[in-house]
Amino acid sequence: MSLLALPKELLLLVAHHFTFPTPSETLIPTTLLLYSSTCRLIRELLIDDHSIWKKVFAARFDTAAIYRRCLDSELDWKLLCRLRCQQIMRCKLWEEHSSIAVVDFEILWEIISEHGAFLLHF
Amino acid sequence: MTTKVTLTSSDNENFSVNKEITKRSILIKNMLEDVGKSDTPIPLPNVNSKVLRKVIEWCEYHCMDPLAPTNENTENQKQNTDIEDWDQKFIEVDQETLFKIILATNYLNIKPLLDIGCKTITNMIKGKSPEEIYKTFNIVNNFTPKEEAQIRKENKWAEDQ
Repeated sequence: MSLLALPKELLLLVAHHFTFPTPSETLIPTTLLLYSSTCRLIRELLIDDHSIWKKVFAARFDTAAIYRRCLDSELDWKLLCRLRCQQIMRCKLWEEHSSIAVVDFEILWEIISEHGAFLLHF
Repeated sequence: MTTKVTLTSSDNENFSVNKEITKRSILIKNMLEDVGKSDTPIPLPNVNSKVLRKVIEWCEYHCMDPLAPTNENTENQKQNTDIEDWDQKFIEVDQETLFKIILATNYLNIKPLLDIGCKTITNMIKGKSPEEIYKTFNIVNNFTPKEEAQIRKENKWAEDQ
């Protein structure tokens, strides 16, 4: 019996367990990306599930302000997550190499200005 | 006196179980509420005796746990993939049995055990390369080279960390 013999709803349930940050994956959901790249069935399942990247985003960033502005329904959470993660990674590079060129301050400002109650740990 | 309920597996083995313990399964709980007081065995055509025995063992151990909320709100779920020691040992089974337990708990609607099964798969995938995942779970990589290139391109941002 292969993993793929499980019903689609269960394959999705497995994927939802990859959305939480772990000690080894605080920022990038590497295992989720890997899981979604294993075969066509899982990839198509995850492309159609719009809740999964919303969950990834919500688990890493403070989304209270976005909810307050009621903007959560139409957003591309995967793209938002990627942009924010990239900027945080670039900030780390900036710290190491003093290269400001790659940093997008608009995205950083969004992260800071929407950030309410919690501190970023990345 | 404890009321007993008889559960019949797909291979016609009967299991006499305390009624309160069977209520860990939302499916059985609802069935018992629907039929009222009855001694008729409850058939479980989707669960064989080996798997049903395991599921009953889990329900007996966790009989004092508070019942899981029935709503689908995931906000209150424990957001990690940790499994408690007893459950970890309980779920140390071959892959075929693991999948059958997951299917059975999905059918019986025992969410905490279903979560343990899914977390176990999650933990089996973590830290593995794609090739190891294919081998572990008997998955065939059915992407075309063009699709693989597209996926690599899409996931490139995650490798740049």
